[in-house]
Amino acid sequence: MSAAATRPDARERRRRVLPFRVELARQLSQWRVRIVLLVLAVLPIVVRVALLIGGPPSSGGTDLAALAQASGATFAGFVLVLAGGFLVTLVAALLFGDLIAGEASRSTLKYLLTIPVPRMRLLAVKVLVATVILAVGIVALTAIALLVGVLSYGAGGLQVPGGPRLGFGDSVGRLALTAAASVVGLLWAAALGTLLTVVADSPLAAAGGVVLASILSRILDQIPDLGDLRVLLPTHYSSAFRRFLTAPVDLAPVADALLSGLIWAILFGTVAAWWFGRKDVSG
Amino acid sequence: MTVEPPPHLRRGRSRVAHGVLAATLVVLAVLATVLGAATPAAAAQPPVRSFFVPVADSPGSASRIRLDVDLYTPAATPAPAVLLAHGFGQDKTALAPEARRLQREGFVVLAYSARGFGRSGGRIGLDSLDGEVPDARALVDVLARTPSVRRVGLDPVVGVVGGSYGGALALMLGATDRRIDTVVAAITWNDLAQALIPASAGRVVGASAAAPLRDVKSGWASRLFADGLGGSADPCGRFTPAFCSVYQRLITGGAPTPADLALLARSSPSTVLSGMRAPTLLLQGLQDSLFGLDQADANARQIAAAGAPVQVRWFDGGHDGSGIAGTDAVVDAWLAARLTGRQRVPSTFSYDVPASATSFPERVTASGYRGLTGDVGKALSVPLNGGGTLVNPPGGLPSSFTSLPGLGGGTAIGRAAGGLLARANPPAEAVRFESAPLQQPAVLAGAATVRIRLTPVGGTATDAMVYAQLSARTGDAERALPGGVAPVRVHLPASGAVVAVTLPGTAWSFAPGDRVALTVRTSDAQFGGSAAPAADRVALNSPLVLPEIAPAATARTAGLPDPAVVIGIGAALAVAVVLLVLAAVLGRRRRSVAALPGPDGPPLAIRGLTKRFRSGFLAVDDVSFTVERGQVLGLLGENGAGKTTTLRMVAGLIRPDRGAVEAFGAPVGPGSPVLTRFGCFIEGPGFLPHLSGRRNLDLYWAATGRPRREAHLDEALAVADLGGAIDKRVRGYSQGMRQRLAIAQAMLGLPDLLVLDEPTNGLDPPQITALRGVLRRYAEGGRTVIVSSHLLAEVERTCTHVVVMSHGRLVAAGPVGEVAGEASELVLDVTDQAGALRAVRDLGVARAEPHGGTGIRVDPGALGVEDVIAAVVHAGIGIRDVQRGRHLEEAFLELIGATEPSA
Repeated sequence: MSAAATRPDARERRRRVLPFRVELARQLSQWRVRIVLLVLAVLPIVVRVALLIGGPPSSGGTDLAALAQASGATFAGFVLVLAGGFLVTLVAALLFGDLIAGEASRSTLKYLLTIPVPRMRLLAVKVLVATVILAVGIVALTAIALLVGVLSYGAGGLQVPGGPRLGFGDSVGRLALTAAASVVGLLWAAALGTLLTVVADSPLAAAGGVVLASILSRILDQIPDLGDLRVLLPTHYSSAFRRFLTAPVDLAPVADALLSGLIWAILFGTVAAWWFGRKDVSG
Repeated sequence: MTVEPPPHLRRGRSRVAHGVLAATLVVLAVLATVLGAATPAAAAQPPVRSFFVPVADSPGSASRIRLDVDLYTPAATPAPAVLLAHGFGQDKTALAPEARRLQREGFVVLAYSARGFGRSGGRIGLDSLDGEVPDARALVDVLARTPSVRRVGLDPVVGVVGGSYGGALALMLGATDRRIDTVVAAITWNDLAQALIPASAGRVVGASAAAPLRDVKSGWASRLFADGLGGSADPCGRFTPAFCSVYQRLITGGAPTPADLALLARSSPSTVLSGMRAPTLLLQGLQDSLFGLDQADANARQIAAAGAPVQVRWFDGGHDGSGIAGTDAVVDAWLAARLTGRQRVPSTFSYDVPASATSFPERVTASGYRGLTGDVGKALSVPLNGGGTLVNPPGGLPSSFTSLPGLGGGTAIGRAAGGLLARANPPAEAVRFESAPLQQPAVLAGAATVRIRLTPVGGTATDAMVYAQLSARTGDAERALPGGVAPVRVHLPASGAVVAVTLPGTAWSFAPGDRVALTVRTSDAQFGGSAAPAADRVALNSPLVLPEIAPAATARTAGLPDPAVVIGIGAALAVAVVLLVLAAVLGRRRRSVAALPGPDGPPLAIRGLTKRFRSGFLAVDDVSFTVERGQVLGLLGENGAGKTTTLRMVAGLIRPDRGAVEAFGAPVGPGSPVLTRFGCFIEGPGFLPHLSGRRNLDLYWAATGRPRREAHLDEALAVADLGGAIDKRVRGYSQGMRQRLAIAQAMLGLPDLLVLDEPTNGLDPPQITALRGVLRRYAEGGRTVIVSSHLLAEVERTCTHVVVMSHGRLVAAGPVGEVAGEASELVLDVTDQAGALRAVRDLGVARAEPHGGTGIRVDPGALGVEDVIAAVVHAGIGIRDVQRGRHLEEAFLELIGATEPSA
């Protein structure tokens, strides 16, 4: 043991604790995260195989499901719609529900905090890493779906149900916007996951809470008697991302979805940060 | 003239609600507030009075029927009055939402059930000049007598508003009663005969102008008749016998007699509009196969000819769409301008263009009304290709579906259902003409025209009966243009003839690449049609002419975000940024305050530390102690004494309720920078189990953000002593291996203060001995170690200082020797306790007392130990055991109040 007492000098103290890449490496080392990314990446291939088993394309459909095999871009749009329904919500729940509760359940949280990683820094870096993983997953899903679609059905543009066939370049832009809008549609789920992961000590409870909230919100959204109150439901605009797959693109629901997502994110995020800042860490 | 959905701005209201809700959410960010705001408090309802008005059953008749009336009075009177007339099949209750709205706008509103409807008496005369119109005049009399109605001289200020059935009444009342100051007529007819039994929309070019052949809109006629039956057992329902017989004749395929046409004329605004003087607003729907734009066009011409100001609007609604929904704002503004403001009627004309497969709905404003023929010289000629032979099967069955009355192309459901039905249309009954893709965008506004050549296949003169419809094709998607089909019924000579066809007036936006299609069919499910079998060749004789109107202004009416939502997004982003900046600033300030360079105090000083858990358990109660540099401090206490809780507070993991922790002169809280100088092992190891021990240490050090050379990894690994296992997954480690790895992790970077909670748990005796040496040497370098343990012997052998806790309280603190007792103290187990005590007291020791059953405890004072033992031996007493100094265990048990040693 060296006898010299080491004291961090000012320069070193200014160095950021828990760098982004370190947290990214910690997360990517987990099989849970790898499997989530893998599922997103493999989904287009699974859908393609399912269509292969299902037989030749039915002609003259009016919805995206019937048109899925019309062209590469249409297939990609179809895959995005499939994943956008519930799968991505589940993925967001898993990723964000694990942030703090996952560390607490492994007893690693206290060691990160005594490094010391300031709590807000810990939360911020973890949220950022989870967001990047989620975004990369959805981008990968879109890109692979497009690749599988183009290889299977040719580089045709998006066939809008009951509308025109778009150009391929236009279609790629539409798919990118669809993917981006579906990430926006997950703002509330991510923020709720962050809140629950801070409050609960079990990552499963946090992820399950988000899934449960999503199901509950979707059920309530089915009750027309609630009328305008339904705009308060976080999943009310969950299908807004599909607008980019229609012609013409109605931006109103997309804006509504963005506003709704932002409000929920601010609400849940603020409570999560406040709670975590004063929480007694015992795990 | 059919069952209207009550007029309201469902869509508009919900859009506004979104904006308001959203903005409220952003500003308040409190869910409860928004829930409260979303359900507006029921405003106090201004008064509504219901009564019956007796009117003559027919002009000049002495018998009376009663009309059921609601009179809505606004908050401020006298106010202008509005007479509200309902749609066919409705009664006054359907008008309540609109009446309340106008009442809030400050009008006296009289809503009533027309004769033959609701609780009003009498029979339905289809807005007859001999029934419904005099009724309405009697109601104006009522308004004239009502004190709350504003007056100009003796004349009450009255407007009349109606849609469909009520619209025609409004026009006829306005044209026959000079007291009416303005008329609003929506989706209504001009000539009832033309609306229900339209004359041929095509005429043979060059033929003499004989009376045109007619075809009955059987679909609509039967629906209307059913609406008027009112559930009565009478096959004529509540209709007058005259109308009942007209209907029965028409629906069974008969041609209307001159008497029938005369009867329908008594129910048509066309008969009286030459008397119109009041400013009139005509709202006509594009989605209307019952009362098309041609009916509004005829009304507008007659009113203009009568010298009254008239404004026309085509909106995206009508009997096949959403009724008159969405027109509230226009009606309110019109009434306010005419009745309250008495402003001039602007000459502008506006029309909606419905959404197509590629474009949003738009509202186009033009400088003036052009009728259905568009701007002179601005029509677009589109050549069409196609042709073929049409077959009308015997009976005209199966017939083609081109629209569903009341559920047409204005709704998604209507489009879907219509599309499904159209797919089943018999192909032999249709001939299709289609254009090449359009090169330029074009907006059709008005009635398109085309000339077709019809030639009978049989080579004999015949009556031809065909239906022409326009559609737009974008890619694979085809949509029928709103407005329905044009019925064409002409006498054809054996050699055929060229027929000029005027298609239904409508508005549509064509994008470049779209194709225009004209379909000619022999049957249409909505029309009576012809039962005679026929076959005709169809060819085009001219290009299709699409009238256009130069727009003065074009506004997109959908597809763009609500401005309130956009503002909300901006506000939400601003709030998010403010919150993030606030969090960053607060965090930095807290850290910079914590990092203030204070006097470099003792490694750890605890003052009055208290923690009560949420369960109410008082875990730590007013604990204070100080640890100096170079000490190895043992924190001793039974299980649950509060040791771990104290150490958690020291490490900033939990907040004390009271008291403070200072380390090296700086306060310690969550995330305090001074924690950098700590190495912690608290309550069990924590690792990423799927990674190796080495990778765990690497990642841990990487997370500190400090340079790798400061880690002193080799020294830590030596402490862990894991050998080759360091490169295996932590998942497979034993408890002791994890424990050692965790202690090694705490030692990474050689921190100035090492805090170890129960470090010997799970270690075997050789490892405990090794750890003991490690800790001693660690502290010898001027560093400080805190070790908590419930193992007394361990603390006694390892530590220089000890803090004893029990039940959350500090019971003793100091050097181990001091707490344990005098170092020179002797404990002798003797054969004669009393004798031994006597002997040592005689010797003059500082203190002597019995210890247990057979022992004595002696403080030799200035004497040597050998002297004390010698004195006992000299007294002839045997010594069975000698202990130098007191055991911490004893002191501990004494301190915590236990009477018996546990083991």
